[in-house]
Amino acid sequence: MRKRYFSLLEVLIAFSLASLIFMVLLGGYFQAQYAAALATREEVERFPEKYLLHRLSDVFLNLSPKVDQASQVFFTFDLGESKDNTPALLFSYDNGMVFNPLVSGDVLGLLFLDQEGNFTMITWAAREKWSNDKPPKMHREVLWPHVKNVRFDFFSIPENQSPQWVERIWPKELKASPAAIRISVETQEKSNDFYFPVPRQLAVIREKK
Amino acid sequence: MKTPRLRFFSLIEVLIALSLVALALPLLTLPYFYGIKNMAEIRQSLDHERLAQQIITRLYVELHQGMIPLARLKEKTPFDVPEEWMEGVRAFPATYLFKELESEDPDKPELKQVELTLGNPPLKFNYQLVVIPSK
Repeated sequence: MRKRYFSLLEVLIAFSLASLIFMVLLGGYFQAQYAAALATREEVERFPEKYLLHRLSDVFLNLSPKVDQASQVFFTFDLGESKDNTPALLFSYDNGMVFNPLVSGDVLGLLFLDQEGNFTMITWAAREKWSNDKPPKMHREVLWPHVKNVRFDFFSIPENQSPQWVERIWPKELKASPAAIRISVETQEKSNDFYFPVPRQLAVIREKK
Repeated sequence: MKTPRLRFFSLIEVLIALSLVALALPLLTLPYFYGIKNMAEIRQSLDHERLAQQIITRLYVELHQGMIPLARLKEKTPFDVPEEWMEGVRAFPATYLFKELESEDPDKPELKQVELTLGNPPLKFNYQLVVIPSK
């Protein structure tokens, strides 16, 4: 039986068909690679935003319901360490059960923008757990790095008065927490507003006459 | 004059060449599937629940301030969530609808339900709202 051979022409046709398929697949491959790079970049860029939203949602949903006791607080004040004298927010909240008993249950939280532009939260034990009036070791976490400015606004629903936004300052003398908190975070690229409800007040609407 | 001899390839040579090509193809397409998987994970990681909480907080605040009229509570049709309420998260279809839970006695607080529908395919979130009627 005579051996069957392929001519150069046939082989060239086969390879040109294969390279055509290659080209189509490579096009898809580069497109997918571009999409994956874009998605990764977006994920990295958006991480602080998502982290802040998750972290502070948990914190503000567990704010102490009353701020009329010495250990329960909610107010803004001027902190020397803040960047551009932006007010810091001090509050007490229930941190739940964590490994360190000192920061379990009721704790103090402090939100401020540090000199390096890190939007930071500090957590430490409630006052009654301090020994010799010295605060125990603090837990410091950076919620969002490279921030230009942070602003706190508070939604207040006072008795017999119209609900309103109180801008920037929530004085200690009020001895109450607001109904909602708005935190505006300004970065080089954009400004984001985050809204956090404080449980109990916001879902009750009073009809006006 | 001697004619130049044509170079022929045997079937085995052609098959080896083609099988090498076939081996290379799946390797090249792996990142493609990885890319699709990555995108799907990003979409999933968008936390709808937190976004719903942001939207509902703004809705309650605007109801308190009268920026959204209370007459809207009686409407039976869904309203579009304003785009700026989803700013910084991601734009996708979102609506809210007020539903009546209890409303017989005009002097008693009305219990309403806000049904928030987010995304495609739609996810539904329900929140309660108490409306105290004016005396």
